[in-house]
Amino acid sequence: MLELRDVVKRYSRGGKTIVAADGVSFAVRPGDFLIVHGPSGSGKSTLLMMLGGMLPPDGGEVLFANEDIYGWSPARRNAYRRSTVGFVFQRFFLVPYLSVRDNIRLQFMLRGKRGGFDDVTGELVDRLGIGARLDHRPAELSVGEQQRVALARALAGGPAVVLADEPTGNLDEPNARIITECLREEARRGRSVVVVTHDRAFLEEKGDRLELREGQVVREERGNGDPAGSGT
Amino acid sequence: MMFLRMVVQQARHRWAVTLLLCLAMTALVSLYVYLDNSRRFTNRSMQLIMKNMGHNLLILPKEADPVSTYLCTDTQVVFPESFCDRMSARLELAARYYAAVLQWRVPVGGSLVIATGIRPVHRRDETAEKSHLVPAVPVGCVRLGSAAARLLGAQAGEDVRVCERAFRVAAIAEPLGTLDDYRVYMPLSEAQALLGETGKINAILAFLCLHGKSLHDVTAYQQAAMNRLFPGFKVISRSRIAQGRYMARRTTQVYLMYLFGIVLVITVVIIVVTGLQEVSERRQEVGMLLAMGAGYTYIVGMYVLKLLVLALIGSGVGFAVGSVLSRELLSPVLQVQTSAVRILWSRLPPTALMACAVAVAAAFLPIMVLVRMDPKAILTEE
Repeated sequence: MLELRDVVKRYSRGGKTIVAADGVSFAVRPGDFLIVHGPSGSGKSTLLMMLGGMLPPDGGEVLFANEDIYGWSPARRNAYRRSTVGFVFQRFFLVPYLSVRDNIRLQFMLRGKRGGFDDVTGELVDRLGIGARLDHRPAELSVGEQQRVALARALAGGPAVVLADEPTGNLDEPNARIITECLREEARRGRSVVVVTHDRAFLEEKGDRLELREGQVVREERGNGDPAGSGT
Repeated sequence: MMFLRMVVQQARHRWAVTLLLCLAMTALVSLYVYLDNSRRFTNRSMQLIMKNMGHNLLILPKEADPVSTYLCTDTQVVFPESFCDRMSARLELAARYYAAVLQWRVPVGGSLVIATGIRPVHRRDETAEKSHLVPAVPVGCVRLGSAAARLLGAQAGEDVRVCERAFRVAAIAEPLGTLDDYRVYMPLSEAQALLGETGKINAILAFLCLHGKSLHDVTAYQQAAMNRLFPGFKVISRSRIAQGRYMARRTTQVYLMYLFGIVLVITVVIIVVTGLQEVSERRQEVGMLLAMGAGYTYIVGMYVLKLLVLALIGSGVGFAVGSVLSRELLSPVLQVQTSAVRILWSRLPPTALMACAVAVAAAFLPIMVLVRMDPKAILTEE
């Protein structure tokens, strides 16, 4: 289980202190599909970075399997990101000089997998509809195809946690639907999926939701749609 | 394998920068090899030129009057020849290329020549090439100064009589404008036999070797060492010759080092600028690699490996170019040499090491920028 416990994060900008997280607590279990939403600057991306081991909090704990990941060494946190976490960003961040296959294989191999790349990722590639593009470079793909490749990269090798920051922000409706459905399928397969989004398509569906404002959880809804109270 | 594949693909993707870096390293190594060869072969050539100016040290017993040696009078002091061998055996002395000499005046047709018995005495740390600086005279032969040849009416290959004894003229030297023009060089043993002074000499000649130090420092060292080891002798330094060698060598070396320094700075600037540009262009890629758990060691390792490979390629090509340039440009310039300008293969490994060290050192600033990147800021920027 991935959990934030009373997490606090502050930034200093031009002499002012900005509170990105103010005592936030929530948990994401295997099989959860959690949507985090709120206005710009509410701290959504900050929470995602902290969950992914990329941003230490100023207070509180970020726990994975009941261990504080920021109590680990940097090398162990790198290993956590390699083997446990798959990131998807709005801007894809594909490696421009690698083919689609190698972009996906990169994460696969960083996860310590050696053989069986085609077997393991074949189903994923088919599901995302990018099988015919494996030998192309990212610059030769459409925006939607690039994001599908980014998602395939994040999922290659089977991470336990998927963290997506505005994964459909640049996409048209058909591609956004493919991405959304793929992420839901990963949650059904037992992964913990956290999606930061403004996308109405996500928000209009049933599921777990967390609403943030000014670094605080103002509304939490779980599974059956009932509010779970604010998490300050 | 993925690591290596990424390095290769990166280099191909930014082929222009890769080519520029490779060319910069090639130019640096080419110039380094050329300068290094110039220094080595020019030094040798200059030593051979300078040897024709004669020895720069005269070693005499303390009681001897140098004037009598210069004027070759009958008051020269004779002493055992073994002292020359003993001095050459003391490697802590700064002098090399010793010659044991027995000289006296010989009247010839109303004038005078200086019969000079000579035997080169080699230190065991002299190279075979440098030992030719003091060539021995073949048995039964003489080498004549230009004026002595004229007074004796001799040509090379003819027989000549000196002190009632016949010798074959092995060679006649070019005019020097010094007393040496009047010398008749013969094997020391034959000179000793003519004078009845078996095992005796009346002067020791040597070269004072400076090895980059000042004439003053080496002269003081040599004097102190001689006072300690051979207190019965004194050393007279013909400093102009030594100083001339020293200044010529220093001038050449300093000029070449300045030139190399300029090229080194330019190469480092190219590596730093292209490195900073690459780090800037790859910031999103770096941010994503960090998010994927690659770690700074992985990312910096790719960059450094690429630089090392380019440095090795540049040093290989540069070594070849520099060596060929040396052979083609130095050979016609260095007229006096005992061996041809050639490719010094033994210099390839240290040259490659130097190129790699320069590349890695120049990469320090781009690497510092790389590891200070904030991946969170990169990945979440609008």
